[in-house]
Amino acid sequence: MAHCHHDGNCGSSHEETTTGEEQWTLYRYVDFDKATCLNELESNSLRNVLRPFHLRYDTSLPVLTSAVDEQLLLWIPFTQVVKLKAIAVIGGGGGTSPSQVELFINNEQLVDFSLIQGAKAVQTIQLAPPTTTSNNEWVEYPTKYTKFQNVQSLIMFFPSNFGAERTVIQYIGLKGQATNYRREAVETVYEARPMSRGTSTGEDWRNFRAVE
Amino acid sequence: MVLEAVMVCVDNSEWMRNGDYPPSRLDAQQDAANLVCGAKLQQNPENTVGLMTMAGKTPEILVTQTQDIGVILSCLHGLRVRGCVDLKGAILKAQLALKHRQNKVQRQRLIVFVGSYLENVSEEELVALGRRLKKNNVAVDVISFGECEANDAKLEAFIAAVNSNENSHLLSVSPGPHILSDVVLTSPIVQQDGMDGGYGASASGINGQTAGSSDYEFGVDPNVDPELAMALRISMEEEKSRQEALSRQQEQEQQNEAASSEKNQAMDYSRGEEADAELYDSQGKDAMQVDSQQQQATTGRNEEEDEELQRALEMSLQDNQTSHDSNQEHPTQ
Repeated sequence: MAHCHHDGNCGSSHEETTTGEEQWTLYRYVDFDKATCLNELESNSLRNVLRPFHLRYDTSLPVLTSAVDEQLLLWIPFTQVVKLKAIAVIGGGGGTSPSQVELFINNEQLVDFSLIQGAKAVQTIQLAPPTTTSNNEWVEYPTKYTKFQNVQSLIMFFPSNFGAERTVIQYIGLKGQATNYRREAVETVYEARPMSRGTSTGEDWRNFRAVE
Repeated sequence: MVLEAVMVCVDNSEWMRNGDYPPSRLDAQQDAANLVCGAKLQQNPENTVGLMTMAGKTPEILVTQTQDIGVILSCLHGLRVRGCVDLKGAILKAQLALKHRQNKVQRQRLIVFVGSYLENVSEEELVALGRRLKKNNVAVDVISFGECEANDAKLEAFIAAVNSNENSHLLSVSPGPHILSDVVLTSPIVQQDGMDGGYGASASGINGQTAGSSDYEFGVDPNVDPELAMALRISMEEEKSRQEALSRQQEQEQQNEAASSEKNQAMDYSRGEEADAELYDSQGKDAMQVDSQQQQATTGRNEEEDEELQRALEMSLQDNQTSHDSNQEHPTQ
């Protein structure tokens, strides 16, 4: 029995590749119809920051800006249950980049600034200040993975930034994998007597059990 | 069709006894509040509405978020006039009530009726309150009546602070011959911009005397009554083409009169019989047109047919040798 050794030819997905683009794909599973952002300057600008990995430095795309003060509260529901491995936040540079992010999981009731001030976050991450020299650096912040195995919705609360009046976020990356567990109605076909053909599912019967 | 949770705040202070909005400010406000609640509940099947009073000892929530218009109506009729409005406290309470709504997907909206002079709240406080509401994604519509001039500055500053992408409005209604509910009906508070004016537009189409303008051409919502809307549009086009033909004839008439006036008069009398023949022809053609269109339109078209026939008669009588051309242009529609 041959074991799969983890060397360069293995090609298994849990090796840390340098680009890692295939893992920063959780933006695809975000339910954008329900996702909201409190204190945003233009409505529906959450889509702008949850973008594909290769577009993270694209400054021509619109960004997420805060409206009244520097705090931002994002509620990101997913269409499937996901496991979140790491996050990345690219801010607007200067003082507008957020300095801290608090993460909450699966708690719809906290989408309000006064409620979230008193709540204990699942994880609080201090974000690195933006570098003045190069714009092409970004930091990946791993999550406490054991707590983020079962994420149906994520709240990201940015309470402060590095001194500017408003917070600007250019890109938010979510790294992880989807589990394909969904909460939705099951499509079933009930039959009075077994039919070998002619059912509309069109798939192979996997859990077929003959009852005698 | 935005999904909204709405909290309606009514003013039941002593200022509401005033009769400048007949029969009294309180009654006019009741009608308008009822209208607004009904409109919001119709705009989306999942909308909910709540009701609270602002004056008295403390602002009090009468009805929490519900879809039952009957409960709201009965509470509106049971309002008692007392005290003075505490606008800031009332808005904070309303925001708290909306925060704890059951369905978190609903957008939060306040609709505030202000009919008394706001003396115990300053403009800075209102602006700070507005910014706080904007931060929490709460939209506010204010209907100011009674003390409009005195409150205008404060309320405009408030709405400017709350407004985010045109979701908040200030409607000032000064005393006058109009009815408060009608003005509210035609305002952007009830009528959403764009598609949704169904409630307001169809009602204003029926009640043609309202001061405001309907969003739709001819005052009829194409979604509500497409056949009537099309019939009106077709008759308008026909009228336009007739007007053009008429103006063309008049130009030619002037030219002919300039050339030889007597000759034309003689020709008119002799052409009297021809004109009659053409009259019957035009009637026939109009009748054919009308029949073909009746297959599409409803019976509401009958009045317009009579009008068209009368117009055709008038025009045929005025016609001279150019009438043939105009009649032949009609069947193109």
